[in-house]
Amino acid sequence: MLQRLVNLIPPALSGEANQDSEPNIAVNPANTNQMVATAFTPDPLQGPNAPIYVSRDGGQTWALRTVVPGDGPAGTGDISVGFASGSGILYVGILSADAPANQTRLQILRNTSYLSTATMPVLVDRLGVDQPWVVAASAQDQAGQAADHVYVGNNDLAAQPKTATVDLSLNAAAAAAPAGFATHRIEAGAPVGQDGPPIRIAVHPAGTIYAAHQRWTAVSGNNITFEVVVTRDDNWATAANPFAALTDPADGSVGMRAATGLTAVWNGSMGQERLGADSAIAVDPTNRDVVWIAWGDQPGGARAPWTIHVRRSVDGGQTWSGDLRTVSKGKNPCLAVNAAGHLGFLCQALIGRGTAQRWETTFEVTTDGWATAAVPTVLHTALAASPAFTFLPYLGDYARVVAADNAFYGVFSGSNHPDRANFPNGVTYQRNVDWNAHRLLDLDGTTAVPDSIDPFFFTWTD
Amino acid sequence: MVDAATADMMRQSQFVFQATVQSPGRSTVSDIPVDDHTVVVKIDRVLHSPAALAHSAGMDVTVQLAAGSAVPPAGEQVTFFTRPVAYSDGIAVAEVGRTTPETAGELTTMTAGPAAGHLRPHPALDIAQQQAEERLRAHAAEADAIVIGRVTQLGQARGPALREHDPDWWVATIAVDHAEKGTVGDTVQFSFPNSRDVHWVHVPKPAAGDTRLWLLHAATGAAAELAPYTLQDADDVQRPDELGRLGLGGGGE
Repeated sequence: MLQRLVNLIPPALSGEANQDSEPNIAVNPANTNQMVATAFTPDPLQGPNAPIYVSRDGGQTWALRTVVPGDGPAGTGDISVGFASGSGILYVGILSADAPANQTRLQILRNTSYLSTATMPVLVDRLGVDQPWVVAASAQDQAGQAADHVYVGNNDLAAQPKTATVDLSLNAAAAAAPAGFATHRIEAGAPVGQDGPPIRIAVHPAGTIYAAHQRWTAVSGNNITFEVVVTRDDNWATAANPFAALTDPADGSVGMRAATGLTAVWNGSMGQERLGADSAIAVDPTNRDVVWIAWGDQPGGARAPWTIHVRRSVDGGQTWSGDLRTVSKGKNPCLAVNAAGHLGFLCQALIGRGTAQRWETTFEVTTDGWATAAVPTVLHTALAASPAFTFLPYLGDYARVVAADNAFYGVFSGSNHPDRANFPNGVTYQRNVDWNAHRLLDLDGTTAVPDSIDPFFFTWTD
Repeated sequence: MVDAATADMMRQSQFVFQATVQSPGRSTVSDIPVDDHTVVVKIDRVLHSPAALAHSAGMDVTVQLAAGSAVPPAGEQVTFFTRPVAYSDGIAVAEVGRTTPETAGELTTMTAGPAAGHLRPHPALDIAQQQAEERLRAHAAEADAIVIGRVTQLGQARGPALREHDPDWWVATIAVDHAEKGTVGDTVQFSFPNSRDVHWVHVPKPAAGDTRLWLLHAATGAAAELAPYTLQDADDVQRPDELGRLGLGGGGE
């Protein structure tokens, strides 16, 4: 059941009206009161660093730390975060706002304390990369010492056409830059032009690592045909050529195609949001062979609604089910499996028609792969046309849910319009608000602040 | 007249305010280490701030005083020049510098005394404005062409690449009314990223018919194949009557 839903904007930033979209979250598995979240949030004082959100009380309250090097009009660029499970060290992947003109700039960062106020040191710094996605874990190294294993999925456009990439370090905790990070291409097929932007990773605590990417197989104008490809490594990706454990029997190449012949229109639009690529992957911590994937496409072509699909493999990614769950006009699917083997599924969907269209964010848990229907819980619903977007992505090219023990922890972005009807299961705002008048209020408690997009945190337990 | 030290503090600061010291050795922000150089102050007047904190007068703020600096006693009014540290239920900032007690006293007189109805801007505001002017002038000095003109044509330069952060280059044609800098004819073309992606949100998007003061930069790399100049910064587009702020001394064509 839903434990709490919290607007992340702290009281001291009651005057902000930024488009805080594309959220991400990390929860320290060793102490789930410790959390870090991110979004396209600039430093309110326009300093040199972009902020992260931190919580030390299980997400009840959140504060900002301006520790990410490079601050632009929307904070840093793409950002994702991960706690190493043993050390509690925070790892961050960003597209720095401090980048050369016409370039994206990947940086991988590290902080030994998530509450630190010091600028995070840079471990990796490389141009031409998109959408870094951080997953961290801890395991024993070859000498039997605990070591942080950090995997950063990214779309390295300097490697066209085989752009699906994982930067990884098997001992990232203490060494100076690059802290053991090395770049590995996981695309073994023949994409047309490039792979899709999202490269997602799931880590099983016994050392099985899955990665999912989208291989573009045909491009005509903005029309893309693609496949969802899953690769796997069975020993923490320690080999010289990792992620080679799965082979597609149809063509003999590394990487199993979980879905083929998929179509999408690049940069389409839905409810002020752009479309192009959605992806998620999660592994069952109770069974390394059970792995779930989700993606978005337009089945049947350009006129079809953007649709989210969820599928499962029970044999380590070698064979895949058909669709177990679909969401028409869905966006930002998130998957996580808790310690009971239950799957949590977050999705944002555009519902209704015309000016009544709304973005609705739901979360559901299935214990049996939807053999019995799971009832989605509406976390948030708000008019899709308000507030007007200031940039893309409007809500985000991704959101995120993670699991620890039997709990799920997630973040999504949405309108902060203060109407309790928009939060049918309750919400807590930290920022100043007049619920009766449906107005956000500035620091003085009287000046009205316009609605904007805010990040929201929720936690759910079985 | 603002002294050089104060101007330097201003350059390093994002939040400048007059405040009254409340409690040395305390913090209003959880998680922030407290030592004998941590003080809570109440903001009396915001002097320089982005919009999000413009209404923060009356708030208690935690200040991490500069190492080795004197700790002001409770009740003393100080003008703090600060940079951000943390935001939660309160704000924590780190001191870049402060005005001397003598200056603070002078300001108190200025804002609360008989001249209260005839306030001069606080020196910090003078500095902020001066620095904004300096930044714009420096930006103008870096521009390769500066013109006043109207957008007569807009066109997509090439199909956008299928990337989330692709700039989606367009080319604008300007009918030049006045050329202040650079060698341009009756028309000039520049490229600009028309993408609404977060990576390009800061670059202005010209519209047909816009008459503006354009600060143009010589295009390089792939952009040079599209047009001789490019827009690359929020300050590249100004109102025509802002020409005098650029500090170029006139003399245009």
